[in-house]
Amino acid sequence: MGRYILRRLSFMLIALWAIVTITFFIMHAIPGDPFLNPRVPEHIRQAMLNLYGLNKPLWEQYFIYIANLLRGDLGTSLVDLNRTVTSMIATGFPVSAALGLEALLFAVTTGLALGIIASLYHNRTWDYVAMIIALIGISVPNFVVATVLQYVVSVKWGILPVSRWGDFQHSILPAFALGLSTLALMARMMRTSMLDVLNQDYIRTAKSKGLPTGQVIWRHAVRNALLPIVTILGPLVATIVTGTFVIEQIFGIPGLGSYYVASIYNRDYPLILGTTIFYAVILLLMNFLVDIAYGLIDPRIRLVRERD
Amino acid sequence: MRKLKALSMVVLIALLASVALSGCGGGKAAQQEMPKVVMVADDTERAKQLCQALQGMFLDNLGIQVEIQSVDFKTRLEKMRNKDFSMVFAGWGADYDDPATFLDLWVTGGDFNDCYWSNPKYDELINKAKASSDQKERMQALAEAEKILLQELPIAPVYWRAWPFVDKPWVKGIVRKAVGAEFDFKWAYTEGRPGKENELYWNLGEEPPSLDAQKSTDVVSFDILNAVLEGLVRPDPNGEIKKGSGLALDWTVSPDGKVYTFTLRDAKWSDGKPITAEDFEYSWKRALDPRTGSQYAYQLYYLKGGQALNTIELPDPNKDKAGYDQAVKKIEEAMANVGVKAKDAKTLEVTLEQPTPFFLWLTSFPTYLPQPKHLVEKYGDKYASEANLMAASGPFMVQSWKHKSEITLVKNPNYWDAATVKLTKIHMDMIKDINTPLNMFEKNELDFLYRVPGQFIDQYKDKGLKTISEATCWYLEFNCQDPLFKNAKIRQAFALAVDRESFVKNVTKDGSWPATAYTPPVIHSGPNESFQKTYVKDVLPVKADPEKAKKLLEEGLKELGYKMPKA
Repeated sequence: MGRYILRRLSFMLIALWAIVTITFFIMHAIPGDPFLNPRVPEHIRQAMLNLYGLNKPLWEQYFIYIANLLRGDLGTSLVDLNRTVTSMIATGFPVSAALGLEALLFAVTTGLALGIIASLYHNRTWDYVAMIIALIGISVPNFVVATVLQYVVSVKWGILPVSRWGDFQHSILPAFALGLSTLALMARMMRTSMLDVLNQDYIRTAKSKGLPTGQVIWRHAVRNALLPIVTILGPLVATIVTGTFVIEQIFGIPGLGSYYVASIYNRDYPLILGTTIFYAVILLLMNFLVDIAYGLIDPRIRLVRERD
Repeated sequence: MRKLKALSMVVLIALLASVALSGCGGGKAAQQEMPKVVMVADDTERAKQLCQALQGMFLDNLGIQVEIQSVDFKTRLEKMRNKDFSMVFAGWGADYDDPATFLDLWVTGGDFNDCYWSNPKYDELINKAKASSDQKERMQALAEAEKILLQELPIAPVYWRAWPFVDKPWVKGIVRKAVGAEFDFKWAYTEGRPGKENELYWNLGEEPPSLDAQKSTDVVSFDILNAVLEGLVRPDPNGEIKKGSGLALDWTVSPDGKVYTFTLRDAKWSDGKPITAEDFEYSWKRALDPRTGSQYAYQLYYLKGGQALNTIELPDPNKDKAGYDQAVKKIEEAMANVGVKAKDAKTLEVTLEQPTPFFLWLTSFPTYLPQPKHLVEKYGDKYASEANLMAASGPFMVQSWKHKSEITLVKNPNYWDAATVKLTKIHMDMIKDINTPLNMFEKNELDFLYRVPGQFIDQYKDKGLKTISEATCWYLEFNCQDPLFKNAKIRQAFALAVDRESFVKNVTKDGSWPATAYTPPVIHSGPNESFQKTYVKDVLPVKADPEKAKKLLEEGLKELGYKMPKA
């Protein structure tokens, strides 16, 4: 187990290095730079590029960046002046994470419940109801859901605030809009997975042994049906807790998602790299945790092969 | 990167050469096909819509199929800087309230002259206007220059932009400005606002990139800076500059118009320290110091020795320590020679390179706003990056700054004219979305709706929709070294193919004006006097003139040896 973790960690480091390097060079290949502004004369722009070391050969800039990175320094934004990338991530991430976890909690619990119900009432009314909800969740884009919610719930009914960020009530609509598609995905996957498991021989065996239905479903069916869902949960968590631009933009939420998009649009190199690295770390970490979770859910899956 | 560019240039040249050669081999020059016309434009929905309308007009009125190349904003700018375009849809907004801010652009070799256009007579007129302190003479020279520009049309004006807005009936006294910061909240108040009286709910649209006056470059930051800082003057609600309107109580100007001596009033920073002439001297020199990295430093080139200081080159201190130290020494010497000096705590003497009639106006421009020397030195790079790391000299001060979310301004009790300021609080959101602010406005979560998008305009027409005219002109810019657009007749043909009236009526739909000249009418040539209306008048037609346009195109193509395109 220890050796496995060590190997995985070293692979993660290599992957991270590759991501940084590729991003670094692709990012510099996009036309334009942070100081390209219609109103800034060329000689001042050149002076700015010099001042921030952006006129140096690309490889030199790369090594400077890597050296700073190893010291834990992600640099300073070139557009939101005087703010470090670390402080920007530190303010943006907790917001995105809080919203994302709320959305995830709502999506996973409701989605799994719907999926289980649908599978147990296969081809009956409850199945259809659950799958219609899932169909809406998948086919209606979240910005449409968000706009409709804002108009109906906030403007027409006056129940919740339209926008802004701060209290729990501000997070309800965005969490719902953000979670809906995940909910649908969960419901559909859980239904398929459950139907699969329910047809297995061991379920029949359990039933014939006289186990109560509830116990058969919980102990044998649900637990086994969860496995494919756990697989997608890793990347899903990483995506949802690091912020989505669309929902953050619509509800005026100061999360990390807006930083990603703005950084590319502004050619804010340190911010592009900083947010990319941060996202990559979360993603790699989530995948790692999922692999470990496999073993916990299904004891047949061993992390280390016997002969290894 | 550079090598890659060089390589691609070589390949491009080789390709062009082969195309040209194969064309020449085909027979008489007059048989050559006209080159394809590509228009570079931004990739926003709005820009695409506007460009498609122009594309339609070129097809209808000239019979030419123009291709649109949509690129993101920075790519468009880079193409313009590299002069890598034949036609581009671009715009310019004023930096100060004087026509020179528009006309200065197109002098030969000018910083922003991307189109390779050059006309000695034009340059001469602009220089004449620059050297003169006689307002009438300046305006006449500038107007004559504008007419030359509109004859040769290296740029073809299309429209002067306006923004539609709606506000709640209880919002009063906000001053809308065409140049610099867009809004002044000093005289604003709310009367009968449900819930919170004399508080204002405002949407900035985005995070201000910098509240450091010498480093900031965008209008979002400018609006806040104008509220929290005050310079030597503050234009009154009618846009006029009067003595005692800002931190300068009085001033004298030398007979040659080059030396201004300002006397400051007794005023305090929001932290209680007195505001001194030294704060001004420090801030202006800081903007010009190349180590500060101020992108708008050129706004202070009107000061004597300003440009000389700002253009001192700084070598990389890690590679060339001696060279860097030498540059620093040079900077310090140049700093002493810059034309701004605190004679004593209350007297500021400013010496200009040449007489600049709009200089007083410039002192209200954000780059000229004073900052507290004691705090800038204390916080260094962190200055003005958080609410508690800055101080105010203006009507309001920053109470809280939740990044990417909300800024709250409160009334500054130390402001010299605090008695006039009625608003106690301004909540400023940073909501980028288009629909959300509309919903917030409906629910009274916002008091003011700015830049109402075209598709919602009809909905607000009977709810008191108004427009703010910007000091902006949007135009087609032609690369005068392009095989096609080097010909003035062809440029004129394209300019006449644009139906400006239909463009603002059916396409922008936001109250913008057809640009019948270049400098927008909101730019003044004197108190309450529009430069365009007084001196230039309507030069370009509001309607398209397809007949004349086609004739000019035909002549132009003939001169270049191209065939007329098939209709």
